[in-house]
Amino acid sequence: MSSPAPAPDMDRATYLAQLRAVVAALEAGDDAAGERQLDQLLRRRESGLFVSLARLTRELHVAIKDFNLDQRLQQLAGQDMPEACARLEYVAKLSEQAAHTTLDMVDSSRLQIAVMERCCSQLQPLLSGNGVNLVRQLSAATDALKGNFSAISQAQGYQDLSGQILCRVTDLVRSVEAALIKLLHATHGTGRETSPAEPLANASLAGPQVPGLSGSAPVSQTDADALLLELGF
Amino acid sequence: MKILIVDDFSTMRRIVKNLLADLGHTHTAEADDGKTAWPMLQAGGYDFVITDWNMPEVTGIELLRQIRSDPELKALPVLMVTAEAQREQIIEAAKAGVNGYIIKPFTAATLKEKIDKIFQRVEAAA
Repeated sequence: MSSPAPAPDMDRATYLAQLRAVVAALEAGDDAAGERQLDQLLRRRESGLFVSLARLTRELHVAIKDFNLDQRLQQLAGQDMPEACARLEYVAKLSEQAAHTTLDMVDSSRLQIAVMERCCSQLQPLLSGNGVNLVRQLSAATDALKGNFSAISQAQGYQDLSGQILCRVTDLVRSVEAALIKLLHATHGTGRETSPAEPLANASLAGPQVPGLSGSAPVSQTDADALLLELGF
Repeated sequence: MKILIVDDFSTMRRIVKNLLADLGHTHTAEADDGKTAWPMLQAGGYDFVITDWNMPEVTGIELLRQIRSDPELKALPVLMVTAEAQREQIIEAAKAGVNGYIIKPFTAATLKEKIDKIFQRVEAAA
């Protein structure tokens, strides 16, 4: 890269002569002629800048072609990135299916627990002595199972949080893909046509907390409660 | 009491529904975002809304604002259950008139505590 130079048709002697003409005109008190001369000089210099800029653009274009970058970028934007998105979407779908299967089993088990509870309460008046004790134990075990299934159900919340995080990553990859395709069009006039990436959904929101990643500090439920209390809630 | 659960993730809707059932609230309906929820709310009959924030089409905060600006629905209690844990978001929700704010992941005890608190206030105000 070189610094902006005088226009190629302008050698050092012409440059000096024009500068002298500007000075001479100004010294002679002919301001209008001085400005005219100066304008001419500046216009020539500008055209020199444009020539340099055009040369730089051409060099950049050639450099990208020489490094075969366009092919690699085309592969990235046209194939690798859409594939990466498809993989992430598949992971989200699999985790959703797994969470639903677990929740189906929880629902079915809760029905069975309800049957056990009904049986316990109907059995109790019919029994005496050790039988009553056994039914009490059974009833306590049923309550514990109920609590466990409730915890299993809540634990499936991971699917919502991990799904939201995956969605944000695929949105980001699509944006980069669209930017690469634009770059390819600009440098080579080629590149696979794809639909432009949609803007990030709710881009202003921070989304689920990711350890070590959240920009501004996320708050805990306790902090949130304190904040709401401060705000009069 | 009829409760509308609004969340774009069907697993989360099921989880909230199960937790509500544990708390004795079995009269629930579901919507997958604010756009689907709005006509359901306008049709009437709901006593309480539990909504996520980040959803496609109409978000939870937009739904909350719609509810607060509707003459028929403006007093409807709304509990936000969301992964958004930034201070600014909590303040924004409070300004929009939310009745409670739960950060995901949450526990059954937190859900119960917030629901109880909201209804104590609603009853005290009545």
